Amino acid sequence: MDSTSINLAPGVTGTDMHEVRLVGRGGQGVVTAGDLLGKAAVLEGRYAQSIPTFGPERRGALSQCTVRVSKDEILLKCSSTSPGVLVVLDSSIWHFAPITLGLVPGGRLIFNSTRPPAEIDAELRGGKYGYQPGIDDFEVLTVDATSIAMEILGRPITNTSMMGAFVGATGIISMDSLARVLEERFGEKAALNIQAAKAAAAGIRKIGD
Amino acid sequence: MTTEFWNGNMAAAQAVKRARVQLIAAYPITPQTHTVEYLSQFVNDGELDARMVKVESEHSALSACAGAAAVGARSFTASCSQGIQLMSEVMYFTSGMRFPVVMAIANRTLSVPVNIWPDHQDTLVNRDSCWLQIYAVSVQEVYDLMLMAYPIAEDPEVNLPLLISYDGFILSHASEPVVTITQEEADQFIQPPGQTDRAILDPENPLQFGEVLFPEWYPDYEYKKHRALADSLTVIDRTFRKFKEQFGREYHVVETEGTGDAEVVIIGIGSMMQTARYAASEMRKRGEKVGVANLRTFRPFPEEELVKAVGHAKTVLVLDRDIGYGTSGMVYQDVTRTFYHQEQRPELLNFIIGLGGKDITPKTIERCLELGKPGFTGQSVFWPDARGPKEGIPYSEGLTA
Amino acid sequence: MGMEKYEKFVKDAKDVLTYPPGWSLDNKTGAWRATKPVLDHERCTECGLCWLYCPEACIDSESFDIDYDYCKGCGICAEECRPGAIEMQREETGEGA
Repeated sequence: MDSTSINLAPGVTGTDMHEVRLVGRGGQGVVTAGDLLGKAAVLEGRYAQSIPTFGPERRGALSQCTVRVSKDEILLKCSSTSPGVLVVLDSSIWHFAPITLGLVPGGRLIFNSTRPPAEIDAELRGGKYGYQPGIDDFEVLTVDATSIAMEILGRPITNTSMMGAFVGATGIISMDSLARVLEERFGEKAALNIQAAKAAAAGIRKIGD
Repeated sequence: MTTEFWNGNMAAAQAVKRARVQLIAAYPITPQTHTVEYLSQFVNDGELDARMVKVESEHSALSACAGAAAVGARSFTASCSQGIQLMSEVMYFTSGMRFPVVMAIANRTLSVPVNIWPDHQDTLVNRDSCWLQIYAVSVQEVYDLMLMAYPIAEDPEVNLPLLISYDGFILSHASEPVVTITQEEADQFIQPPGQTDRAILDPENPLQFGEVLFPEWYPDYEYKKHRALADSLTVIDRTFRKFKEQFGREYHVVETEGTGDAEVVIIGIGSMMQTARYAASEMRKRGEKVGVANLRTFRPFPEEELVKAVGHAKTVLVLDRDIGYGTSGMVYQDVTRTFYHQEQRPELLNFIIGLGGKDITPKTIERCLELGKPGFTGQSVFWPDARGPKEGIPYSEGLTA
Repeated sequence: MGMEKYEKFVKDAKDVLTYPPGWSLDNKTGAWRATKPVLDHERCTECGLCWLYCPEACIDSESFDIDYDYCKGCGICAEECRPGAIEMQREETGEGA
């Protein structure tokens, strides 16, 4: 997907605020991803917030993070209630959680999966994963972030790839800003992570692709 | 001055570094742990010249801080939940000795059932330990209030311990932009550590501390302690104004929004008050005159400022993220006492919300406003988060006029 | 993962919250698995090392079948398997719950 051709993902109605829900497993870097996306937005001169919610830490258990980006200060101090974007870092954990709760119309869902987006789309519309009848206006995208991470980083840590996919699919922050925060965070290892992010942004599959 | 993207624990640690704290002793407990981890990193990296004292419990942590304060040093600890309860005995000792120790609290509820998520039970049950209690509602505020902590606590008119509270996870683990200050700026604002006129342990000038006081004079000493806490409002206000002059960010002991013409005013402490501001502004768009008064300080309790903030509002909704078991929320108790002697007494309703980290969303606040409408049940204390006996009707209790 | 039962325990708690023995069987920790061990019975020599090493007692001592309801996907069995009969495969469907 070319970054010039994207439509911005929907924000919260009546504001310029974007609400993003990140979902994954403890140890996959969900919290780091939220933090870095927020940081990238702040680099762009905007206000951002990253609120992780997790239980007593356990590698492998469900981990979520809410990221909000706006031009003004954000007053909300709670987890996402009406996300416009859902980013799923893990390929299976989402089968067990109502991850789509509160999704706003026009929502964009990005899954780390090798499965065709149409298949996941059908499951969602069939009433799974917190789907609420009436909210039919959403788009399912997939990217095989695990393979990208294995190939480029040699480890199944998908957060940098999925951050790239997020940039590619929503345009809420720019790839340049993401690259800058990755450089700041990962130093020498940044180059490979940036490569993974870009590969994931290019590897997004839409229904019909 | 730069803008960083920090979580609440990092903001607290960075401000503590700016205050040139000399001794740090703490025992890890979720969600506070990072604060002290960051500080030990600063000490290791030579960014902060402080002594890290390894202790075996929170009781020892505060004891070490009190000991440092006894010789005139600036000391810091951090805790929450059961950790503060284990400290509790030393908390009373610290205030009684008039030691200006500062503590960061990443609020977490009390067990059992075991729960690591935020509510204000842990700090509010220690409301009578004669510590100043100041509540932050954003990560920027964690940083700013922590910068102001030592100037307030160590003021010769105060000399009392102080705690800065911020909700666990919602602020401790959440990142937000923070406008920072340089060490030079901090040094202009915060007096250097160790320079104090208060009585300290000094071999050159031997003194005895922690004396027995017989009943004849005990009330006199207690009254002084009580006044020092109550009167610290003046010092807090002065420090807030000085902070504004130097850094531009404005703080008040009661932060108000839309209270001027409000018919309903929402009162409470902690991060939920930001969500309440959001909800109130949404309600205003629909023509409902709702105002918000956030109590920045719970101890000292800002009575006069609160009465002013409520103005002519007919209804006051007090949100409590805590429960005084068997009665009402703890903030509510102080609010009702404050208004009892007022000529115009608003209707005062209490909402117990967000216990054990139950998320407080704009919907939660709107639900409270709905339940607070006249004649709903005729009772005064509502539990909208607990599932009531009937679908859609929460538990409510308490006498009203 | 047994949420309905869990809610019932909370609702029915007269005073202290208690759970009956065995209730954790409902907590199917297979959901934590990101990779899944798959045993190739052809190559398996039935040496029992996987059974011995599995920290979750998820491998049957006779059939060497893996209990995917509770296997957390740690990969120790695959690491220890001498003939290389256990392969860790990517989890895509979440059958563990």
